[in-house]
Amino acid sequence: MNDILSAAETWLSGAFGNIKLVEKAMMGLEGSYVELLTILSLGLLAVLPAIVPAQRRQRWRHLNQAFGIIIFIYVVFTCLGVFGMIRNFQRGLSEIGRENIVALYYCSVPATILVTSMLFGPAFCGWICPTGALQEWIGLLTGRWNRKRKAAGYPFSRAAFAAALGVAAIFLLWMMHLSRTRMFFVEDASIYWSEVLVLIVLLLVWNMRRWDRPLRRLRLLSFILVAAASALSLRVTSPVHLGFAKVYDPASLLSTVMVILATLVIPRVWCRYLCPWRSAIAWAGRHSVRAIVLDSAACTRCGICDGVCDVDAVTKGVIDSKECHFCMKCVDACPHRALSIQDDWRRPCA
Amino acid sequence: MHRNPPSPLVRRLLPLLLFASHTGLHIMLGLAGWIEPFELFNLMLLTVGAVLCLLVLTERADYFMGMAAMFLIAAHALIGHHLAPDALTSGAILVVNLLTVYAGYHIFEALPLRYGLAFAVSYALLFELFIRRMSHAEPLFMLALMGLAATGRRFRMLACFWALVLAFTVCQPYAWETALLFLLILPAVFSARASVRNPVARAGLLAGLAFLSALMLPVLVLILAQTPQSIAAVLEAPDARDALLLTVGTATLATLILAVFGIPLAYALSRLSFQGKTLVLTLMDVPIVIPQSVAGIALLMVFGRTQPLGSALLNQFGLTLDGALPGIVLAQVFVALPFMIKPALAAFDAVPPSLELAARHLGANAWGAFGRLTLPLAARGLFLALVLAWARAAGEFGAVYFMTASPAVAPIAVFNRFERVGLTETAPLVAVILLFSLVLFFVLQCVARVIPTLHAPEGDLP
Amino acid sequence: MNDTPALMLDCMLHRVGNFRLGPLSLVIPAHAWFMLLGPSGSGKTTFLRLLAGVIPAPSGAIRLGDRDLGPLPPEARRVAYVSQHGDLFPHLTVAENIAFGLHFKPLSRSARADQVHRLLHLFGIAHLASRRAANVSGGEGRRVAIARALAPEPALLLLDEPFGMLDPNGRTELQDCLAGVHRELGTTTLHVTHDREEAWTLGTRCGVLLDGQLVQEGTVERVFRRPASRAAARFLGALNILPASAFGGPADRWGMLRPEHISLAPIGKPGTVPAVITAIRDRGNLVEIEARPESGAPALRLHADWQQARPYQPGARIALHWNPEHVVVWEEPCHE
Repeated sequence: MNDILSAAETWLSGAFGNIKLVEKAMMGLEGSYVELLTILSLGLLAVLPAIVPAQRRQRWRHLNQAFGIIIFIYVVFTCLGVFGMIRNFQRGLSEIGRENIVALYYCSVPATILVTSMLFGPAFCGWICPTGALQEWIGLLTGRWNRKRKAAGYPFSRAAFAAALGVAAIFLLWMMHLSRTRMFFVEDASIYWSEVLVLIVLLLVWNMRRWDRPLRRLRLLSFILVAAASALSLRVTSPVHLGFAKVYDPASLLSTVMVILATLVIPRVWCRYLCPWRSAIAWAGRHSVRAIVLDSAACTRCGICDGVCDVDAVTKGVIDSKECHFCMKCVDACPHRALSIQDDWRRPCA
Repeated sequence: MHRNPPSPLVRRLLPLLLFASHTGLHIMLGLAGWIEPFELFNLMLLTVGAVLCLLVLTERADYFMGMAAMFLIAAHALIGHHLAPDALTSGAILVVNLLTVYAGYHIFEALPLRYGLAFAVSYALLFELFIRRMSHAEPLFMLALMGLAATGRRFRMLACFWALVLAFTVCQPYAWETALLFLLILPAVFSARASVRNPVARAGLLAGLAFLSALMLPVLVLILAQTPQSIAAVLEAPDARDALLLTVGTATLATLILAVFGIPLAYALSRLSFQGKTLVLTLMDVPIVIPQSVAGIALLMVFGRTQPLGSALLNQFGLTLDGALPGIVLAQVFVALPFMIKPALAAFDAVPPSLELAARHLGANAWGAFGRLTLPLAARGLFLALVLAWARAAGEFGAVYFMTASPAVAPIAVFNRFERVGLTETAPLVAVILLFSLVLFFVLQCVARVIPTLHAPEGDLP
Repeated sequence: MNDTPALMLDCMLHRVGNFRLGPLSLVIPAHAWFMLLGPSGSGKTTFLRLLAGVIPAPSGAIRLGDRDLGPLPPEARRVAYVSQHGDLFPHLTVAENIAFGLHFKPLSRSARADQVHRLLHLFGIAHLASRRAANVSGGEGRRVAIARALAPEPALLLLDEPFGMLDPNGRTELQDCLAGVHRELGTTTLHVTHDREEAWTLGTRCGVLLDGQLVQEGTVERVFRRPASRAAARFLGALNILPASAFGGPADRWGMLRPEHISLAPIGKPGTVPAVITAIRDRGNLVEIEARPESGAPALRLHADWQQARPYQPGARIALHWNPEHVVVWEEPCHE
């Protein structure tokens, strides 16, 4: 699947160069209104999870993710990864009243994601986010091995430790290589995120049970750092560009590769511990109309749902709304149909 | 809210009628040249209308929502291209309208009527704000409608939404500052609880916080306008650094002097009753009551080097007050005196004499009871008194200006710079002083929380 | 601790406005638990504050053992005073509270710790040692306060209504605890209260203070059985305070007969008084029967247990019997 994707991407980038599809199509229209298409397409992708038939939901989800990548690469102009979303939001809000079109241009992606998350649940993470899709698909390679480790309660494993050491070694070597030719600036902050990533992978492989929950708080720190940097007008590039945009610099490429490698050892490692946007989406998701609801009468506490969750958000049917990606694997996996998706306009905050 | 289900015939007939009129108008207006019948977007709308009609007829979609969507789609197909410059914008408007109807319908149906009313009023106000008041804000109106749809079902969220909208539109030059203030006020107002509902207190809280935040706005604006570079530039300028250090030094000295003389006096005032106590308490307030410049002149009249006492001090001890550091300290002590005594008095008053008495019965003499019991119990209040006195001393301008204008303490340095180079150049220095004071004050408050008081700390309960 | 001196008061007199306390003369023997009973406003607390040195020296002498307390400041008196509120030091832990008084004595650190440890265990509050005093419950707070007062080994312990504002269970527990502590330490204690029950459970000796005057003093048994005056009897809750003629005494004097000294007898037995029951009140552990003698004398109240009282209904005829020795007759004229 990855081969096909990359091949498709090569073909597409060859076919259209740096000109975006829609830019071409909308030539002659008021250019900035193109962002309306962003709203429409992201909104549509967010609405789809509730509409697709339940039988083949996971296949639809992967299709949705593929569309997400396509839309982020070819439709969305203004989003350079998750950090860019935060920075752009700040910039866009400041432009309201001065340059309303520019404001729309920058606000459209984050506003759409927040609004759809508040209405239809935090489905962006599980159904659209290109970084999430990338990690999920890469993670399929070692999925079985990781599920076995999870079922055993993440014991210390030499293989995992060796893999983590390998990731660290690749990082160090690559950094050595890069630092020979160039200086690093604040703009290359993604390097620091990769460093932290390597460190937490080592820490997690050492003792997952001890460090899993505490380290998830790093997401908020990550958000605060990026928000503060954008408030101070520092241009912090996002670590994970791949799938979000077609612009690469060495630091981002390195970060992307580190995420890809790390996700082989710890599934969805970026989403779990470092994604700054995740804390905002989880906040919106907790205020959402739509939620996965447990029918405790039907639940037998078999723990099957725990096993299928990539981000360990479920414990015996009880879903941690701070972690849930709304991928609905648990809903589909439940043999007793104890989990269901329900809209409740009166739901108090989780 | 409950709506009566229409009879089965109407239920079947209405969607068909709606779709038929959509199709008919599509053809007729297409023939008349009003719309492009073969335009992709218009055909798409027709198809979606047909699909929706089918879904409603087979009861796979909510009846009301389906009908509303069909109506909106039909309306858009017919007049959409007159509303928007292009099909994409028209489509976006349509989708946002659908979303608004979807949210509004559910809010009207599932929640008490006031939520629905708030939703409708919000819609009207957003229209007024973005369409009528602002130019080129139609796309922002769409974003705002999305926000309304997402937040309309809870007053708390709606209030936050409105706070953001107002901050970033009406309060534009100070958008971030006002947004910050709003987001400080709203949680406070919404989380305010009393054991019995007390609307008066809540209204007071809202009004008071609004008033307070209006006053705080300049402070926030000043701080948020600074960048690390401008602050660094101030700290590197020697005159500004000297002024800051001088202020810290003299204010600390003044506070020490006040502590040595003020704390015993406060204790005496708290524990003894004597003739003229009221008079003494009133005299304490004199430095607050008289204007700062008057205080400065008064001090100069006595301690100036040409005045009897001042010249005597100069001749006997070689001590110059005006125009020198001791003059700064003297003026600061004078103005900070009530800020030391009053809180210290309150702190001692808060220690019940019965506890001191208990210590006496346990064998402590008066000094032991004071040192081992009263002082530790009043420590937090005394500490805060010291902080207040320090802040007052460091912030004094008028009295110090008359005693010693140079070397300049920070407030005088600000004034001098403002006179010399104007507002914009002074702002970073002021921001540095402000930040410094705020950080110091915050740290000291945190320190004060560690000091034990009469009240037990939380978390230690049985 | 056999050297504990006794408290001696000689004509102690104190005035506050119209209120006059004393002159009081009183001797409390060493190791006694002296109960001073009196209604609210009778000057109990003032009395304690005089002894503790809070109110300056009155006229008359206060001697504690061989020391004259009059001129001494509170801290030099070796008198421990526990006020109604306990007055714990809220910023200190329970152990630190107890240790407070020891800082002013020449003790080694370990001796101090030993004393605190001992008191903590004696009062059964060892588990609270490191808790802040502000966070202990009412009954625990009283224990801490009394333990703290006893830590510097005072010659006299003054307790001002130590059981006030405690629930009945807490009260009983604390009473048992204090009784045990007193057995162990033997500190001379002066305990003022308006609660008559406490006197029975704790006191070895007892005094009654009415309107600033010590109207009676003696063993608890004697004070309750033979109150010195009608007012004292009233305060002590005695029933059947009537003109003495009702019990066969002189007609111009007040007298009293305790209800438990009246018994039911077979009707017609000689030496008994025939009466008609006017009311029967169930008091829980016993039944109070009110009966009016057929001679027309005022009604008498007597106590019977539940079994005894069962056959009787109001209006039934009974016979009452008592031993004339139990009748208390005061020298107060009765004009009835």
